[in-house]
Amino acid sequence: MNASMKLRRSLLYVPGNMPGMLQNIPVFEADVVMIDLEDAVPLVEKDSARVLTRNFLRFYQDRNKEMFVRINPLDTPYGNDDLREILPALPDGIRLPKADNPELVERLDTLLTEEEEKLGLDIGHFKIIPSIESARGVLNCVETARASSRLVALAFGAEDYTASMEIDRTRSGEELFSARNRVVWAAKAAGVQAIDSIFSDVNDMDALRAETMLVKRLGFTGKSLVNPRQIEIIHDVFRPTAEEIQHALEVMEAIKRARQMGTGVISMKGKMVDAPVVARAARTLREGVAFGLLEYDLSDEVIHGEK
Amino acid sequence: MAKNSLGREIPAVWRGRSLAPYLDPWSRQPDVLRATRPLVRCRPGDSKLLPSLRAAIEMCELKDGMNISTHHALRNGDVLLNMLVKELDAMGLRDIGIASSSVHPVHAEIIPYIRKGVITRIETGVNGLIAEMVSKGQLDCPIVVRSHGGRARSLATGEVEVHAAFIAAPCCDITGNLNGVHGPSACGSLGYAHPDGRYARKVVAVTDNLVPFPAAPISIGQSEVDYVVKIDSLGDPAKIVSSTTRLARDPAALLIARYAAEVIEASGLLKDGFSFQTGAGGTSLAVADLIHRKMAAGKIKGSFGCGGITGYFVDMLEQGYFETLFDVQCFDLKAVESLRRNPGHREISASLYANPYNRGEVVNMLDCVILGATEVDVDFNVNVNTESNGYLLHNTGGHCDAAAGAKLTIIVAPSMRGRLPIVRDAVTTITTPGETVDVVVTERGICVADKHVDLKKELLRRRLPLKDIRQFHDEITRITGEPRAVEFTDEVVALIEYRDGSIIDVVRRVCE
Repeated sequence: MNASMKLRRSLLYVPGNMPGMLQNIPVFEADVVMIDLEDAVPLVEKDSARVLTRNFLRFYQDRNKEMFVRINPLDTPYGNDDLREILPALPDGIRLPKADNPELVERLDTLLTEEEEKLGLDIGHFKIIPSIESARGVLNCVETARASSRLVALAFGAEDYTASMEIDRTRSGEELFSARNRVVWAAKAAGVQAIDSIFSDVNDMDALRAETMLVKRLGFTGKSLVNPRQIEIIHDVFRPTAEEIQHALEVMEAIKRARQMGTGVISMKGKMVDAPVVARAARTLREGVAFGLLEYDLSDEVIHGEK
Repeated sequence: MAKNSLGREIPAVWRGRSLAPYLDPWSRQPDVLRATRPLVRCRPGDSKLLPSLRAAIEMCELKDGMNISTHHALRNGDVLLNMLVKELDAMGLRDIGIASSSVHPVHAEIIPYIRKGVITRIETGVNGLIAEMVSKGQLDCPIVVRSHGGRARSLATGEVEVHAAFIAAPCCDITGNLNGVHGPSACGSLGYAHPDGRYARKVVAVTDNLVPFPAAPISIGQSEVDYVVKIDSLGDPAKIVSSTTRLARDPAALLIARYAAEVIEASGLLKDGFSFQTGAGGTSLAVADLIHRKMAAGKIKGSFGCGGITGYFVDMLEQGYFETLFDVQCFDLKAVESLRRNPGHREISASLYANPYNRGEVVNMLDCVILGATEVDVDFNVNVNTESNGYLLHNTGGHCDAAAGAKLTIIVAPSMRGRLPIVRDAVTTITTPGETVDVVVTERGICVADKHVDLKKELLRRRLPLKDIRQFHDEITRITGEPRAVEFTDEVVALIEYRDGSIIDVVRRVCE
C-alpha cells in the first residue's frame, strides 16, 4: 500500500523518558505512536530519553503500528543528536515540531537522506509529519506541505498555535477555525493527510468526541492524542457506517464492471462513478478493514485497475 | 508424601490431620451428616445480655484447645478479634484456634499472642503480616486457607468445629436478632457469619448498637444466638467499607477491561437472563461498567449479580439490568444503602453462595465471573494466595468457588507486574485449578482454554489479540526475563484447601 494512503486516525504521543509507558506501546491500538523527545522531556533528561527511545525501537521489531519520533527542533542543540541516535533504530518517520516554514522540512529531508545513505536504506524510507503550530507556520503551510516527498501528513498543533496568537484555546474552538481550514487545504492540495491537534482534557470524553466530529467534517483524517484512553473515541468517530461501507462496495463493483467494459467511468444509480469516487470508496473500505468491519482486498490493482 | 492430580507434593499427614490430595473439581462427595449444635431452651424473661466479652467467653465454657470465630464483614476496620484474643490471654486460655471467615492486616496485633501460645492455629486464609511471617518461619502458626464456600462446607461437615462464634453485629436487640445494615458500624451483608449462626456450639452477638426489640431486618435471628454483649465500638467505620469504589483509570487496565467485556459478548452469554460476578478492583469495575453499557445498548435484561456487591451492581439493579443481587459482602456504602431498602437486593449466606456440599449453590447459576490473579500458569491454574516472593499474603475469597460454578471464568490481570511476568510455567501456589478457568485476559493478549473452540473463532473474527498461552508466556518472558525461582524448605506452613476439602496445594517455608 502507498505509504501516504496508510490509515492514520490516531497518533498517540508517548513521552520518551518513561520506560513504563514505552513498554506499553505495542499494546495500544493507535495507528501511529509518536515517541516524544521534545516538550514532554525535561532538558536534564534529553539524552537519557534518546537512549531509551533508541533501545525501545530496537527491541520493538515486530511492530503493529507506525512509529514516529518527535525530535527537538533542529535549531536547538538537541535536534541533530536526536536524529543521529534514533534513525539507526529505524523509526518509520519523524514528527517535526514547529515547522514554521518549508526550509525546515527541506533541511530535515536532507539530513534523513544522508542518514539513509549511511544506513544503506532506500531513499525515502523515513517519513515526515511536520507540525504547523504558529501563525507563521499556518501562513506558510501551503508550501510546507509540498516541501518534501517524504511528507505523508500535515499536523496542526493548537496549543502552540494559540500561544503564538496570544489567545486562549476554548472548548468550542472558533479561534482555531481558520487555521484548521488552511492546514486542511494545504494538506489536501498536496495530496497528504491532515492531522488535528491533541485534546488535552483526558477526562472529558464528550468534548473530545464533539471536537473529533468537528474536525472530521472539516476534512481532517486523524487526530493527535495524549492518552490511550482517547483512542477508542477517535476511532469511533472515524469509523465508517454500515451504509457508507455498502455504498463503497457498490462503487467498487461498478468500477470493476466499467473496467471490464474498457472504460474508467460508469453510471451507478444515476450517479457517475470515476477515479475520485473510487478513491473515496477505497478509503472507506480501508477504514472498514482496519476496524474489522469487513474483509476486502485493497491492492492498488483493485483501486486503480491493471496497468 | 504424594502428588495430587496437579503434580503438587502433598504430605499424607500434617499436624495430625490426614490429607486428601486434590483430584478434580467435581468428584469428591460428602459422606457425613450435616453438623449440628445443641438445642437450648430460653424462657420468657430469661436474659441473654452479658456485661462483657469475658462474661461471654466464660458462659461459652471456652477451654484450652477450642476454636473461636469472627466474620470479616468489617474488614480492616474490625477490632473484635483483637479484643477477643487479648481477653482470652487475660483469662489464661491457651491453644485456641481462630476459625474466622478471614484474617486481615489489622489483626497483626495478635502476633504476640501467637508467640505466647494463646493462638496456635488459624483455620482460615490470612491477609497480611501474620501469613508473611509464617511463610518466613518467623511465626509458628499453621494456617489452613479456605475459600468462602470451603469454609462454609468445613463448618457444615463438622471438619472445623467452632466452639464459640463472636458475631460483630452493627445492629442487634437483646434477644440476639441482628443485622449489618443499621448503626455506626454498618457493613451491609453479614453473609460470612451465617454458617457460624447455624453451626457454632455457642453464638455470641457483639454489638455497639443495641436497639429495642425487634431489630429489623433480621439477618441472623434470635433463635441462633446464645448471648448478647454490648461494647463501645466494633471498629473504624472508615475502614469497614469504602465510601465509594472506583473504576480503573490506567489505560492498560481499561484495555484489559475492554477485552474482557468483548470476550463476554463474544461468548454469546450476554443475553436476557445473564448472571454476573465481579470483584471490587478497578479493572473488574471497568468490566462491569462496559457490560452495563452493552446491556443498555442491546436492551438486555439480566437475572442476577452476586458475590461482593458494589455501587456499580446497585445501579444495574435499580435500572432493571438485574432482577436480583445476591450479596455476601458489601464493598461500598451505596451497596449497604441498597441492601437496607431494596427488596431485590438480598443478603445471602456464604453457604448458599458457594458451599459445594449444599444441594447446589448460587455460583452454579453464574454465567460469567471476572476474577484476578497474582500468577497464572500455562495450564490456566491460578494463584491468588502467594506473591512471587513465595510469601502467603492473601486469602482465597470466593475465587475457586465462582470459577467452579460459572460457565465462563475470566481472569483479568496485567501481563507483568513490576518486572515480573504474570503467566508462568508453573504458579508458585495453586488456588484455583485450570480446569475451572476459561479465559485469561491481559493488555497484551487473550488466552483461551483449548476446549472453547467456538469462542476462539469468534475472538479472531472480532480481531481481538487471541494468543496461545504458551507462546504468550514466551512473549512476556522475553520482555521481563525469567525470574529466579524462589527457594523453599520442605516444611509445610500452610494448606491450600480446595472448596471440597481436598488439598490442592501447600505453602512451604521460604529459604531466607
